[in-house]
Amino acid sequence: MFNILYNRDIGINLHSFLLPEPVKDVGEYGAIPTTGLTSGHQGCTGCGMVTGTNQALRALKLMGKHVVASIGTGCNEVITTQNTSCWGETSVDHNNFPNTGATLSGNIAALKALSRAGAVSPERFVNLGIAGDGGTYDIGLQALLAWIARGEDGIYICLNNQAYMNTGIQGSGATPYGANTSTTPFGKVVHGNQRSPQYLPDLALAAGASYVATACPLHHRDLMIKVQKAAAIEGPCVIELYSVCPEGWKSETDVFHEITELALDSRFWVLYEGERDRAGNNVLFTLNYLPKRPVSALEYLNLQERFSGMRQLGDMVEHAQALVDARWSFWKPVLEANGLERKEVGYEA
Amino acid sequence: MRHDLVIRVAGESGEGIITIGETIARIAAREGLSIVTFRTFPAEIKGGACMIQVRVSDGKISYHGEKIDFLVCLNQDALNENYGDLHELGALLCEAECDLPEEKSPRTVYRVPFERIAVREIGSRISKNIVVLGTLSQLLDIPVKSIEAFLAEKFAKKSKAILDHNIDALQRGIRFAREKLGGTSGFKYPSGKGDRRLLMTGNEAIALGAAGAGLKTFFGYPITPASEIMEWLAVHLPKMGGKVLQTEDEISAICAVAGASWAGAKAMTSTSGPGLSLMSETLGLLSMAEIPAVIVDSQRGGPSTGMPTKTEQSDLLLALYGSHGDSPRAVLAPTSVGDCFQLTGLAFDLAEKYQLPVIMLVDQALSARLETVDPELVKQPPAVTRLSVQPGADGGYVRYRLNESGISPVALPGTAGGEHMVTGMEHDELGNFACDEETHTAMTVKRYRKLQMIGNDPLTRGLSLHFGDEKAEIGIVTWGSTAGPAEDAVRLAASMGIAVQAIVPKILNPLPHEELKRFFARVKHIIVPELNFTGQLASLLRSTYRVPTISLTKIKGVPLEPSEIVDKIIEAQESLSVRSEKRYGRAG
Repeated sequence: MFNILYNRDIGINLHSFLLPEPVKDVGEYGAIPTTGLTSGHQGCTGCGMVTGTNQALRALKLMGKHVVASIGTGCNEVITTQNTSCWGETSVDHNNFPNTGATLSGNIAALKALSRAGAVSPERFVNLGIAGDGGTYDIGLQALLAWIARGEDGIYICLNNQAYMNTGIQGSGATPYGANTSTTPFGKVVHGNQRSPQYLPDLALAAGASYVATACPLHHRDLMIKVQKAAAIEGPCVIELYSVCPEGWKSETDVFHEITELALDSRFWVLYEGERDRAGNNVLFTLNYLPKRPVSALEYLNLQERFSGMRQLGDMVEHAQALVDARWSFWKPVLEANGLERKEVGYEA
Repeated sequence: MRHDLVIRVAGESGEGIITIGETIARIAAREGLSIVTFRTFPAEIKGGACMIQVRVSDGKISYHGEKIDFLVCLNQDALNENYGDLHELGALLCEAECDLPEEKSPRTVYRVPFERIAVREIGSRISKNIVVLGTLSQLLDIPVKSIEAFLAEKFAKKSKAILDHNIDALQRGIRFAREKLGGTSGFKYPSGKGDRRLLMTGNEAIALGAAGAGLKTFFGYPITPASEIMEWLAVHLPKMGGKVLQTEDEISAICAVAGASWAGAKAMTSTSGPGLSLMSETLGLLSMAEIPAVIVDSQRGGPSTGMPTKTEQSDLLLALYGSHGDSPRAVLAPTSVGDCFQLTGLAFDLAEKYQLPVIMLVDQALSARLETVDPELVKQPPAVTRLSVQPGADGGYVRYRLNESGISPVALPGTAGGEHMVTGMEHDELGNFACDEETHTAMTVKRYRKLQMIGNDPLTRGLSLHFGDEKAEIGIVTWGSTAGPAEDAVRLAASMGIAVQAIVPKILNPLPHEELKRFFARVKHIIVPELNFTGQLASLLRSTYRVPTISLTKIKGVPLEPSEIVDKIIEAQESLSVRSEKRYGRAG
């Protein structure tokens, strides 16, 4: 349990009470040529996670860090390591499917031991774990939560495309309610995924994470600032990226932007962060994006054929809306503190 | 005379390559022909090279064919990659702009501007594969009506406009072949006998076999190349009153199987090597607690994440021994799609009857292979159910009773008077923890006795495949999907005047001892072809029977080819003749 505190300000947040000074905004670095992922990846057209990974790596490189990445099996691993590596000067360790958290611990232990022996200076490095939603919510959860519980320094990024896309679109613990996947097929009796998804920031905070955040490649400044904060904050930091997947979501390949905007405005995906004050047992929550216009759940579901079955069923759409509304109600104090009428943010929908 | 045709279609994944191959296969199956296919998958999610090979025959076949009679290539990369496998008298149908390697072989080449026809004339690139299908059907003289009927069924749920669009594409392909390519080629599609045959993949056959055997609960975790089993069951098992649950990992899947089976429902999981590795500890629990379970391992290139879309037979020793301690389990290895169906039924029967885990080893090539199945084969005998007790009859229930048969009757949870403890700890007859030497010895012997009984059970008798000449001095022992190329190799060797005999046991634990011993007594050389680096079956045979073996291994991610086995046969033949020369002296 922890006390919940709210940051009254809504929007991109360079500050953290855990840091002596704010992190730099992306523009402040000037024209430093940095590449995150190098060319040659084999992601599908319209894939969101390549862009997200690229932005995260770029953010860390701008800080001058050498990135030691442990990447779990998944789409991202497959598409960046086929024939040629796209990781440039990053040190990459592709581990087993369940082990991303554990490998992070191994790397951190080595870094400590080597720095004690005077072989390396720890400030030069950043420990980065990257895994998909299957490798995070399902098979990798034990290792991830154990790593967080150990309180070790590092960043864990979950590239959430909401199912096992690489192996043929099987549902995962992050698959949205009602989605049609090959293991949650939409049939006459059972209508797609009947479970509601879990939420990584909740799980990570419960395990003791220092910093949690959600982000999306469409808002790259927000994403990169969050990654930089995570690199600077001591202890385990967990960031979840919204990763558009045309192949698995059965969406067009050129609506990356539209789908993300609808996700944010319908509040299916909320951009926020949480910072832990261990001494006071508080977590300070900041809402980083205020939906621009009220958008119903149905509008978000419309662009993706994986929801084509449930869209026809009023009860299911209502339930999906109720899940969204329930989660959004968390931010009520912030909205009220800002004098925002319910209508303006559309949360009476 | 037997009529065989090997067709390969190659191009970019997403172009409908597989649809072309599958359409040919399905039409052939409807006409009573035999089909075996082989397909490769790109490691990428979308895009990348892919191909499907279809062997059509009016005789019995068990392998997808080595040299290609008719090759279809939709781009230059596909041509470069596949041209070497084309028979020297074969024919090539390719995209008009492709460059051909220089060579002298009298191969026939048909060039068609498929891309242009699809994009310019029809106005949709995705119709390209149907144009190809049209040209191909004309060149091979496949009846147009059968293709049209097939398309009509395929698009039955779509609008008439979509069907008309596809028929138009088909007709344009046919017209091009008639007007510009001179109609039919010299290659003729075998004519069918009329009796429709079933066509399914190995994974479908396993899922169907499990459902037919009375599977009630399935637990699994996505993994290539086994996922289709779970996907098929996710759609169909609930309709049959069963339950499918996707768990968070393989450890959870097999533990859920243990729970469901202990509670009385037939339970199964399917996975690939990495998953079986994770399941190893629980394999021991299933042995120790004597819980029936069926585990399917569709092997892929290993170790670790390895080569997920490539085939290999490198999990044999893991299946046999994986887990700490002495943990007996039965291991079955289907050789064909028909076997996948039948042996799944047998796996349940053995698991239920002997209360132990049964692992079924297939591989990527067999899992994904489309093959015709004789409808007679998909009739299962009545399923065996586990020996249950009416508690109280003999004054108190004893779960692990040491009786003569070694099989202790089961009382399901909730049976009044049958309450008991099941544990992974070593236990006495009542299920209470006991670690004295007598108990551990008696219980280990009890658990291993079951393997002996399985070996003697009529259920496992006559399971092995035999082919070739029983008088031959050269023998082949192989397993799983390598049976197909081995059978073709035996035939090929016979045509070269070399007598060979082969045995393919379909149960690998316990091995069919008597049958194998008789086989070893008949032959002088034992060639063991298999798809792994270390020669796992060969080493098992050496250690079990103390026989010398000639190991033939391959780890290229694709099945062995008959000619590779024949090369080994010729080597063995030469050493035999050297020996007889030594014995009798050189003539003349």
